[in-house]
This record gives sequence, C-alpha cells and structure tokens, in this order.
Amino acid sequence: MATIELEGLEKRFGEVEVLKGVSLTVGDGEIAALLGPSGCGKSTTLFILAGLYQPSGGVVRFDGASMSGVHPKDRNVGLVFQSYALYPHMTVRENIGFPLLLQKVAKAEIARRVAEVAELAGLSELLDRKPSQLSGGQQQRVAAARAIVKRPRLLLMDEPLSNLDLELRARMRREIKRVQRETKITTIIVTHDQEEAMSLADRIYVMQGGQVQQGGDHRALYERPANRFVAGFIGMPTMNFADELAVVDGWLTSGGRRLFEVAPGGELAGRDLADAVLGVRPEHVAVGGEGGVAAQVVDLIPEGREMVVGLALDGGIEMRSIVPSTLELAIGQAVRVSIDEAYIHLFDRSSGAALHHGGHSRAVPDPARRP
Amino acid sequence: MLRRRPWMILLAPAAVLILLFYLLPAVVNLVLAFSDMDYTFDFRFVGGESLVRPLADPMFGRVLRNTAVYVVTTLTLMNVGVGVLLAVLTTEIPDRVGGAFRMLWLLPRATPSVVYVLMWFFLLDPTDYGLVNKVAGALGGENYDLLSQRPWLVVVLLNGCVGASMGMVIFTAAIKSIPPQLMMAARVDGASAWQRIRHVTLPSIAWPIMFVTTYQTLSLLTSYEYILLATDGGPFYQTEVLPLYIFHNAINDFEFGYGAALSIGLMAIGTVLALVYWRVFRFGGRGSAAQRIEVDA
Amino acid sequence: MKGEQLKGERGARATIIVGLLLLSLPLIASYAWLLLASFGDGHELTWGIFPTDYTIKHWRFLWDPHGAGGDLPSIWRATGNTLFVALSITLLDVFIATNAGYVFSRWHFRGRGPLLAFTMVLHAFPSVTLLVALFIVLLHMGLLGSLWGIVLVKVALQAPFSIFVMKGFFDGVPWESEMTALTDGCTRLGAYRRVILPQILPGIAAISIFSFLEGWKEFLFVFAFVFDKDKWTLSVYLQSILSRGSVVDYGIMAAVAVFYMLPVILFFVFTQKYLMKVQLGGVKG
Repeated sequence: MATIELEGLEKRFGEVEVLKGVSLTVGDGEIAALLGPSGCGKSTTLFILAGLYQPSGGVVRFDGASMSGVHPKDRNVGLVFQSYALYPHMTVRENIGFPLLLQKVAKAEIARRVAEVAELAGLSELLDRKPSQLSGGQQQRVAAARAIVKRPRLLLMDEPLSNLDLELRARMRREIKRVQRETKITTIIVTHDQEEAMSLADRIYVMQGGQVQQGGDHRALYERPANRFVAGFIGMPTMNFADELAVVDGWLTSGGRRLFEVAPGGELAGRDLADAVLGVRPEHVAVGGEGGVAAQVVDLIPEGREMVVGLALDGGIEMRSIVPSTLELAIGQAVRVSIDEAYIHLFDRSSGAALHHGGHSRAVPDPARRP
Repeated sequence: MLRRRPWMILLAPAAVLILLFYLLPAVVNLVLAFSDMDYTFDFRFVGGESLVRPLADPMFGRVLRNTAVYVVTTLTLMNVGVGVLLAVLTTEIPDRVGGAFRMLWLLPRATPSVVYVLMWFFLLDPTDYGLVNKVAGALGGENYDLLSQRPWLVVVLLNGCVGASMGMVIFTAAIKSIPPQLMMAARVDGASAWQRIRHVTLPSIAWPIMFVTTYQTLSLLTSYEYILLATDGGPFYQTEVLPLYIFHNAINDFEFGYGAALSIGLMAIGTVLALVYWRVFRFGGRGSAAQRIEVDA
Repeated sequence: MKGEQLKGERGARATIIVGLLLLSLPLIASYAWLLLASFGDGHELTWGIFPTDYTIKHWRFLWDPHGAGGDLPSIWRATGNTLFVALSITLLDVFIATNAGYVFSRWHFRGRGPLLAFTMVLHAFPSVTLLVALFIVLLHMGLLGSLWGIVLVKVALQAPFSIFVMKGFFDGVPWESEMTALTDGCTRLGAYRRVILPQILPGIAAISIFSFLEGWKEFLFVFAFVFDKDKWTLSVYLQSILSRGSVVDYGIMAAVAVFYMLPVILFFVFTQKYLMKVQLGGVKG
C-alpha cells in the first residue's frame, strides 16, 4: 500500500526517446490504468516502476521516497507480465512461494501464505501442477498469485486481459477487482484496451508519444477530453471529426457542406473557426425526424442492442451515428440527420488542445423524441 | 568491484584458461618463429630467417596446393553436400527411420580416430580381405590399393564422412523448425515434393549453410589427425597438407623454429578467412536481443 | 503431417529409404566388421565381413594383463586414464562454458561485441600450431607428461565453441523470466542460478555429451605430450598396436577397438532415449 508518484519521467534508449516527461500520481489503494496505443511508452513506464529500467531523467517516488538506485528486489513490487513468465521448472506451489523463499521466510509460513493466496485466486486444486499443464487463464492467476503473495506495496500488470478469450476476460475482470478490493494493494495496469481500463481502473492515464495526454476517471475522459487524441481514442465507436469549418448563412459547414444550424448568439456564432476542428460523438448524431440536413445511409453495423450507422451528410461529410437496432434502415436510404449544437466539442487544429466542450448525455437519442 | 560486476567472476575461469593455454602459447609461437630452435632447445634469435624459409622450400608450394584442394573439395562435396543431402532425405521419411540414419551417420564423429581409421584400413585392404576389393572382385575387377593409388579420394571421403555429420545435425534442426503450416501451405498450393524442397526446405537452411561453411572451412584448414593416421601425408607427400607439414617438421624433425614460422602462416590464412566470413555473413549483427534489464547486480 | 500419405508419396519414401541405405552401406558394413573381426579367427571372410571361424582369444587382454602383447600395460589402466580425462574435461568445460555463455548472452559490457568476434576468430588458431608452444608452456608449468595438462589444454581449446553454444541456449530463455525473478526478489546472480540455469538443462546436457565424447576420443595431445606408457589413454594404446610390426593382426586390433568404443555405443543408446524425450516433452510453459 503506497502512494506512487512519477515526476517528469524521461527514458531514452540510445537515440530513441520513449518517455518525454511523464508525471502522474496514484493514491494508496487505488487502481490506475495506463492506457494507450502500442509504442506510447506505457510498458516502459511499468518497467521503470519495477526498477528494471533506469530513467534517463525525472523521479519515481514510493510514499515520498525516491526509488533512484533501488534494486527491484528491494522495492517490494509485484509484476505480472503479459506472457505470465511462470518458471517452467517449478510447480505452481513453488512458483507462488518463490518470492517468499527468497525473503527467507520460514517453510511453514510459506506454506500457509501460499495456501491463502491460492485460495484467493481459486488455485487450490492446481498447486502441484507444472505451468505447461495449465490453461492460459490458470497461468495468469498463478502469475498474479505469485505477485501478491509477498504483500507488495505496488502491483503492476502488463496487459492482464489481452491473452484471454472474451468470456474469461469478463470473469477475470471481476476477479481482479475483487482481489484488489480485498487486499487494497495500489495497482497500476497497462493496457491498450479502453474497455479493460474503464472497467478496472479508478483513474485512467491516457498516454501517447511518451507523454500523459490526460488523466482522470472514465467520465472525465469521455465527456471532457483534453485534446483531440484523447477524444478520438476514448469511446467506441469513435468520435466524429469535421474540418475546414465556417459559419455560412447560419449553418455550420465543413468543407463547404452543411452540418447543422448555428444558434445566433450561441457558442459557435461568435467564434473564428478557421483553426478549429469539430468533434461530435455518434450518440449525438440523430438520425430521423425532419430537421437537420439530408444524408444517405452508407453503412450499417449491428452490435446487438445498438447499431452503428455510417452516414454521408449533405453529399459528402462522413459521420457515424449510433441508434437502437429496432430502427429500420437500409443502405442507400435517404434520411435526415440532426446534430445539436449543445453537444459538440471543438479542438485546436494544430495543437489538438480542446477549445470547447459541449454538454453531455450518455443516452442514445430516441428519434421519436426529436425537439 | 567484484560485487558490483558479478559478470567478471563468471567470465574469469574461461578467461584465465584461454589466456594461459591459448593466447600464451600463441605468443610463444610467435616468438619461436623468429628463432631456429631445433632438438637442442637452444633459442637463437635469427630474425625473419625462419619466416622466409617457406618461400624457398620446394615442398611448401605443393603443400599449399594440397591444402586448398583438400579444404574446398571436402567442404563442398561432403561437409555441405552430403550434409544437406542427409538432412533433407532423413526429414522426408518417418522420423524414427530418419533418426536412426542420423544416429548412424553421427557414429564416425563419435568414434575415436584410431578406431575409425582402422575400419577404413579394413575397407581398403589391398588384399582380398578388404571390402572394396571383395566388391570389385564380385564385379569382375582386380584388387585395388586405394590408399596408395587414390590417396586423395580416400582422404576426402574419410574426413568427409565425419564432417558431414555436423552439417547434417545443424541442417536437420533447421528443417525441423520450419512451421508445419508452411509445408501444408506449399502442398495446398500444389507443389510437388521436389518443389517443396527447393522453395521451402532449402531456403530455411540458407543461414545454417553459411555458418557451417565458415566454421568448417576453418576446421578443415587445421585438421590433420585422420590424414596423419591414414596416409601420414603420403605416399610421398601427395596428401601432405599444411597442418600435417607443420606437425612433421616440429615433432618428427624437431624443427621447432621452422614449424612455428609455418604455423604463423597457417594462422594468418585462417584469421583472414575468418574475418572475411564474419564480414560477408555479418555474424556481428545477429548478436542477440537488445538488453532488457538495466540492473547490474 | 502423419496421416496424409498419398499414394505416390509412399513410393517416394521407400525410394529415399533404399537410397539412404545404399549410401550408408559402407558405414554399416565397417562397424559390423569391426565387431565380428574381434571374434574372428584367421583371415577368411565370407560375404565381405563375416569371419569363417570364431574365437575369443583376441579378448584375452580383459583378464590377461599382457594380453595386448608387447610391453603394453594392462588395458584397464589405460581405461582409467581415458575416463579421468573425459570426465575432467566434461566437468570443467560445462562449468566454464555455462558461466561465460550466460555473460555473453545477458550482459552488455563494453567490449562485448569485439570479444564475441574474437572468440570466433580464436577458432582459427589451429591446435597444431600451438603444439610446439604448448610443449614449451606445459614443460615450464611442470604439466608435461601429466594428464591434467591434457585436460586443461583441451578445455581451453574447446572453450570458444562451447561458449558459443551455451550462449545460444541462454538467448532462448525469455527476458521476462529473469525480470520476474528480479522483482520476486533475486539478485541477478540469484536469478541466474535459480531461474535461468534450470531452463537450459538441455543445453548443459548437450555440451556434456559432446565434451565427454571429445575427451574420450582424444589422441593427438596424449600422443605428443604423454610419454609414460602407464599414463596412456586407450587411443594411443590402440595406435601403438596398430603401428606395431608388419603383420596385420586385425583380430586384436578389432577387439581393443570395440572395447574402446563401448562407452560411445552406450552413450548413443542412452542419449537416443533422452533426445526422444526432449522432442516429445514439448516446450510449452
């Protein structure tokens, strides 16, 4: 149980700068996720936390104490690899007990704690097997058990759920949350899967290009993304973006084509939009009714309860909307599409920084209730 | 210092041993080459006299030619040629049978040289006893004394049967690690067995062939044990290769200084070839994965 | 790929087997002859390799200390020497090559690249060139004529190759194994000992087998450096029989040869089983 702080962390491998100043804080007992595409530096951050890499700049602090020069074995950190990295020549029992063996804990005590953790992880029946005799899910639980048996003050997990099939994933998600709540170990998870991040973590740090783009709970990231990258990364299906904006005859246009009517005296009316990019989430692109602009249905992707509709507005602008599956649509069909100005976001064209956030409602709009 | 750099402790024994019994003798050899030490063990510095003797030695040119012919022929025909043949053939048949053949061909390498040569003496015995002559007799021919009449053939085959096994093992390992899906894909694509071998199997052993060529060139260049036991360089220096020539000069004639000088020559040739190969095949680049742990203790 | 036997394939396979058999026939015949000749009486052979009369008189040396003839000591003495040399070489070689191979595989220290290249180049230094120099060096160290001298020299000369092979095995162990060990609480050396070494046991086995066989076969150095007949290994022992006199008595030569080769045969039989196990056991996990 520790508070983890990273201040201005930098890491260079030869010529390549992988981390360019990462700063974040994870409170005692919290679960944080480092979320980002591959190559953004999240795994590197993890290994620096474990002490396996030395930072080129910046500081790592556990409970206020700098970890510079501290050997991994002295940091009391548990690390679970994506590939689990179980010791193939040891049984499950020996794998889990290994950290305790190294700490020279008494044999009886080791046996007790291994049994305790195995119980927690649902591995009691498998203690005498070898890793090669276990399924993927079981191996992962062994790796996790080994990481927590020494009661670490920090637990690190690298892509914990990516190697599991869907059903197992949902189950493991619940398991991890449950175990963490019981043990209250500060946990940092690295993942490229936002669903994983959002379901597991209290705080999410979105990383890209070796830096933290934004940190916050999933609501903050979703409703008030700090920049265009976060806006486009968080949320499935992704946010729609439109460029080359201008207000013409009371309509907002993108590349000359009409998108929606602009309220006089509203947010957009007074702005200079030449350097702005518009963002609007699919659930705020309403299909049906009579207002808005003319559009054509280009694509339909059913997703169970909902359906993603690919649209071409005013003859050209590509947008996606998300509607209940009960809506009857066909490819090529002509529909009316309305976007409410209240829900749009604006981003700076060159820096990507957010300029304006619209209000938010998560509900998928019901076309029958058009204003 | 040792605490912070444990790798030094681990390397130490190897380093000491190589230093004492590899490098030190090399240096001693270098020094000896500038002398004309003989059976008297008197060290007399004579400058480059011993070093230029090979140029005046009528045998030397012949020995060099012999060495070149020996290395090239054995390498291409047997070590690589038969090695590839064995690897490809034994992997095309059920593994138990293939494995049995490979075990058989490993036997010469594991067999003590004296025993191995004894077996060849039997094969080549010039009387009716020899198997070759038995077969020749059955086909209506006469008795051959191959050891005297075709010493090169004997030397190449004898060494080659041993040499082929190394290539065979390495190539087989490479072939076995071809993902089976690749073979299946080739079959589905309609490839005949020969085409499959040409386009899937052989390319997979391209790098091993390079490695074996490099390594065995050097091995052959410096090998002489079997030749010593079988023909002792004869008859009349027909099969005298450089390493054997050095041996004869040093051990039989006690010409230590000259022997050392000849050794320098051999070493030079070997080193040049090794470096050429290193460059051409760029072994340096294939080092190992970048270091992923930055903890020193 | 097992069940997919197409008609044409079975024929092709049979041809290959027959071809391999023909190619290997001289080898098979030679080894067969060796065994048979050790029991053969007289100079007559039928079918090229089978003696017409059999006897065990060539194997006298097993119980008769002078059975090998001449002034040779008992063969058991030579066997003991050979065993000593082979085992010592194996143990020392494994110890050295494993440790050095690990360092080359996992540590990036200054000069690593050149050192690696140097190791490869060392292979170009022929043992023959060092024969004279080694003679002098061993003489001054007081190791000339001693079997220990042979052991140290052999290990030193074999080291580059062994180190390279072990390095290859170490390269095959995933970094994560070591990383995990460090976070679990090992020092790097601890991780080496407890986590990595157990994973390269097959490599150690391979090097051991190779070293032992090399040590068992060693001829040149013993021939050149050991003068006391009591210290001879079986290789020189046999060679002295081979070079004796003009009468070619294949019988005794074959008997001694078969005796000498026995461990090799045994090794082959046993490693066959081990090799099969390694293949079937799988490398999962």
